[in-house]
Amino acid sequence: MSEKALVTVRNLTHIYPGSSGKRAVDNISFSIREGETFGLVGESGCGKTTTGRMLVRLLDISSGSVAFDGQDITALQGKELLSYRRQAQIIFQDPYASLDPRKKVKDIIAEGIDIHHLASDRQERDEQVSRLLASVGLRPEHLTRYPHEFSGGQRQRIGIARALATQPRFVVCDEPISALDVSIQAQVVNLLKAEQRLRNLTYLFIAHDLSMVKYISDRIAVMYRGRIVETGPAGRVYENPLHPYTRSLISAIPLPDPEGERKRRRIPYVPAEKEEGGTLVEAEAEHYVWTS
Amino acid sequence: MMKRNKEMTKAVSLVPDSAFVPCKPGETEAEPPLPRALSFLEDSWRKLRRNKAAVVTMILLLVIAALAFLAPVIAPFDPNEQHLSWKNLPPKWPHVSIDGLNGTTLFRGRRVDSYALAKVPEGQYFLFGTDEFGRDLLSRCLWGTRISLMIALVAALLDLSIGIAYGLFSGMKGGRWDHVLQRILEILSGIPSLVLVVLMLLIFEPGISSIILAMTISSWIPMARVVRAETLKIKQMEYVQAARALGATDAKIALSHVLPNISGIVIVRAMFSIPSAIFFETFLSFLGVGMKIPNASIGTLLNGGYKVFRLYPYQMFIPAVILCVIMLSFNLFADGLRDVFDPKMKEG
Repeated sequence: MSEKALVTVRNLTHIYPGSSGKRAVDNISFSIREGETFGLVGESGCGKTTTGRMLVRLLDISSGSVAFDGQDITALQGKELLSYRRQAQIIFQDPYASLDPRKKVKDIIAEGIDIHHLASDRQERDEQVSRLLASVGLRPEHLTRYPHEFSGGQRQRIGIARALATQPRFVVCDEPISALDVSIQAQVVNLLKAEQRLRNLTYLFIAHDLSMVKYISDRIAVMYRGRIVETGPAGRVYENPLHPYTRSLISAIPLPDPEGERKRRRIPYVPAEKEEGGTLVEAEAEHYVWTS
Repeated sequence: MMKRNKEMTKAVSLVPDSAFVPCKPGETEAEPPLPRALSFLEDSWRKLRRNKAAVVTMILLLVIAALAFLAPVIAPFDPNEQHLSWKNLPPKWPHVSIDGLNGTTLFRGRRVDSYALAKVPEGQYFLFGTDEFGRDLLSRCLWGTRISLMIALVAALLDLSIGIAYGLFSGMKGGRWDHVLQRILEILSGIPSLVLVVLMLLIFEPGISSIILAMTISSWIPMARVVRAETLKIKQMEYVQAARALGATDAKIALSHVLPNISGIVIVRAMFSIPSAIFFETFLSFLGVGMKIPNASIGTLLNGGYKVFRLYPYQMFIPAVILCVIMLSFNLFADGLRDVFDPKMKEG
């Protein structure tokens, strides 16, 4: 992991059309270093998925900017956008909705290869697809199957292979494990980690489960109502939560110990009356918290 | 807990030791190979086969289509050829002596052989009888069915071309484009097609071309609407988002993701629009603004038949039955297809 920021987000805001100006994502800034995993946590509707989709240009950026490897990608069009799309991919939450039911696994994975002409002929394309399939732990005979023949975990592996097919540098993982069984979650997370080491990938890992995010992430940002309320190294945020919302989130994690679980009390979070104003303040090295 | 454990041990000890094979370290049981998967078409065909009505009507439609297609070859007479001395002959079938099919008519309480009276040579049969000009009704019915099926084909083609293209474009573009295109559809569907066809008679000769022209204007509108609605739905799916993130263009998404996923609904919709198109042509021909006399179509045959219904009921009865069978077959077959492709859709 280097100190160089690969993705830099400045004052990013998203307003959904027709929502009478409500900001789904409100003026957030953060940066993701090359080769690291940046965890984004928060409750449902806090804007984390919106943020992820803006980063891969699936949603319009209402205001603010996103820079990728020094290039502003906020308003890219045409060829340049296509080239950015090759480098930035996304893995979706719902493995049942994210694969086209009418396409064979081979063609699902090869879609990116075809669009970006990454294979010179049919044979090379098939080779690339086979290699991707093997790397996500599926067997060659799965190539000619349809998505409905697979389990959730297997489907998510196909989704990962599809995202990796364009040889991206940056992957947005939009809650890739929250639709899976706990026993499968670990497999998929370990697969993601292995691929990251192998290909020097940079992840934005979106989740609502703080414990899993802590396991995979180097740094974490906690989102609440469209704002980042706390950000810092994963261990520091987890051990020394500064914002009351982060404390509340951590108190909601079940403990794998019946004694502790019996004693665990959830800390409810009551948001302050005052909504406007405030800034992120550096409380300790690289650990920022929102104060109003 | 302890008790259950003991029971388990007991149950396991009932299995003879020889049934257990020790596993070598590092060895895991190979996953069983997957059963062969059915493709979309195979699966659909398997489901369709279970529906008896759909299979029967499909065979019936194939037979009717074959007969109509082969009309120029198998029709015993030219459909417009007149034999005035052989007019209004009842059906006569070889080796059948049932009244109504043996060429006799009831005259003053007695059965008389109309064929003998008209001096029809021995061995000459008119299976469906003849009309007021002595034209062979079997030949006319075959040619008329041909017209009906041609109209069906045109309706399906219009649906599949203009309807799909319009709906896909409108749905994929969305926003302002969609808004304008949908208003145009509303204006088009506001034109009453019957009035339009009648007005067309002022400019064009009545005939199949003016019927097709009228259908071009409005018959594909329901299809365009269905396709648009489905496109808007599919567009939101995550696999389309994934394709977009991969860099797929709108056109590619429309053709390679949206179209295959709405194909079932499209096929069903097209099948349901066919009977109404057939009926439209029949209706116009019956009114005399469709097919030009003397050409045969189910509508003109019915028109000729109903005038003499009291005297020669077979002249109306036979084309009516043919029309019913065609309409019913298309409807039941479409129904079967709908159950296969689109079980959620409740009405056509």
